[in-house]
Amino acid sequence: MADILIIEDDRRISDLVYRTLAMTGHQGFPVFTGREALSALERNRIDLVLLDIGLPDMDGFQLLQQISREFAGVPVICVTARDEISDRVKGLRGGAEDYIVKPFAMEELLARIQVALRRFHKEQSVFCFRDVEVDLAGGAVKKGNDLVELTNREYELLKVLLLNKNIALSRERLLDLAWGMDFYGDGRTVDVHIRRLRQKLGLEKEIRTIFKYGYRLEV
Amino acid sequence: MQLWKKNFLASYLLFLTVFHGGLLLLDGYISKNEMEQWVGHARNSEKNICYLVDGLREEEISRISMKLSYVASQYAKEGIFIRIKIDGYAVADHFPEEIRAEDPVGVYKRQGEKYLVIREERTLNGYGVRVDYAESMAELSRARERRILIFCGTGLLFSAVIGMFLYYTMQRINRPVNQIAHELRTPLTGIRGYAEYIMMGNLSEEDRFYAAGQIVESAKNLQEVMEKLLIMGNVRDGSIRMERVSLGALLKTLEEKYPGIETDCQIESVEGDKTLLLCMLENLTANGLSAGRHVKVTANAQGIRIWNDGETMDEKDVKAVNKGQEITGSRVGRHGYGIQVCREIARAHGWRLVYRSSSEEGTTASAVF
Repeated sequence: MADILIIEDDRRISDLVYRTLAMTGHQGFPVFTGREALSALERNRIDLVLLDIGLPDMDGFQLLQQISREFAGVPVICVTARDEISDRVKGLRGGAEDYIVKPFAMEELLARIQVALRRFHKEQSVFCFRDVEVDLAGGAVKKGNDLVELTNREYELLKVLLLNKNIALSRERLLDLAWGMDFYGDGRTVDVHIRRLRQKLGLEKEIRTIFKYGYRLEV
Repeated sequence: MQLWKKNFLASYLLFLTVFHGGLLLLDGYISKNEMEQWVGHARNSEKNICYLVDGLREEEISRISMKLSYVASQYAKEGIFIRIKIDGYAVADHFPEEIRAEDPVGVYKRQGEKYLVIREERTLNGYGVRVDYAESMAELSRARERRILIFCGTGLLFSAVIGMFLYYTMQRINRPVNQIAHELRTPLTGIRGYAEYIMMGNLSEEDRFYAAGQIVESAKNLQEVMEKLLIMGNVRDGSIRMERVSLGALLKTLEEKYPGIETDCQIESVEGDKTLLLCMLENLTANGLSAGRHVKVTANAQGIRIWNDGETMDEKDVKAVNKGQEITGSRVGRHGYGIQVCREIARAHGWRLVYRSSSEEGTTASAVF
């Protein structure tokens, strides 16, 4: 998964983002000032930057421009409490890949990180756990050495679970992500497909049912 | 569009309507007065001609004609055109042909120019005398045009000044609201984020406990912001209770809350609101403690100083704080919003909140009496 630099001066929020990223398999590098961020970018191979605009030692927009200039291949997502249109425009024009306003849902943050990584071709495409190997680029799923035949929906559902691994997703959310917003169905559709995935891939324990909520892929 | 901008537009439009409507009414009133004066003056002038005709009643008709013709030519030089007819025969005629004087008093247009026309008929020595009097109103029109230009110029200038003043005032009023919204977002992110973390993550008991603790801390932060908001509301309303407050007791309370700080009380008491003063000192001390390791609170006849040995503030930030502008919270330690509250409290007591920062002397926040 990706190495993500978290530039956030509020330690509580920084820790929250770090833990959420760790939960989904990303490696977070928390820094609290602009100078620390520049030095971390020089020292490490960073795949993506989460940048809070209000920093104690320098202007976040200035830092954004500097990162865009000096570390051109690193996408930056602004995560800030400043929700003025002018700030959003300034951020996006300054080189930000995306702009998220606090308070945000962790799921949303993760989704936007995925999109930014995909756009920069930094998204992990092969997932291996237990004897299962999923190649998202090739669209192939193997159990041991055997290819497993999945229907389109089963494959989409598996993909959603993989990209949000270790996070509980509600049945409604799974329907939205795997079937699309237009699909008219209920939670039982998800239950049926999950049951088939479990059977086909032998993931009875890994795909865990969260009581009265949904499912979580624990890997 | 933001609410304050909508309010600004509504107020400004109302102002423009009232102001320019007022100017229009004023112009109408002045024009009416000027017109009345002009008509009065023209009537007098016309009467003078009639008196002159009356004075000639003893003379022969041929001499009357000659004299009146001479007078009419003199008037014509001044832009007043008269026609005097005796028994239907014009003895003096400089009156413009295009004007048909039908009413006793009227305004007629000739070649784009307005004329005030007065007609009078009387009998003299058995002769019927008719005097037609026409005076150009160009000067009156020019005066009005000048006045309208002056009104427009003044109106535009005044509207621009008032507009700018109104815009910046509304923006300034709205700034604390923005600041408050900004301050609320951070604890809200903590509460929502950690709640989602507990709900969605596969957590150990320890992690779950930690996340719950963070939610509690974020909620406390939120409460703190709300309390400051309420205090600020009260300060702005002017509902503060002035009494003699013992500074010694106040600093002692501060020492108890923040053990390790140094205090030096050189005056006994000040006039002020005890709760608000404590809130201000607590905020400034907490800011000082988050910025540096040593904090000293000194109260003397000049004011109350809160000094810390932390990293110096940027000159730009010091200027911004002293000018009453908002700066990022973390630049002065803790919440920038706290400074806003302190400034309001100081102002409510008739004091000034001044920041100074240098590498040699550290950072000092002073409430100057």
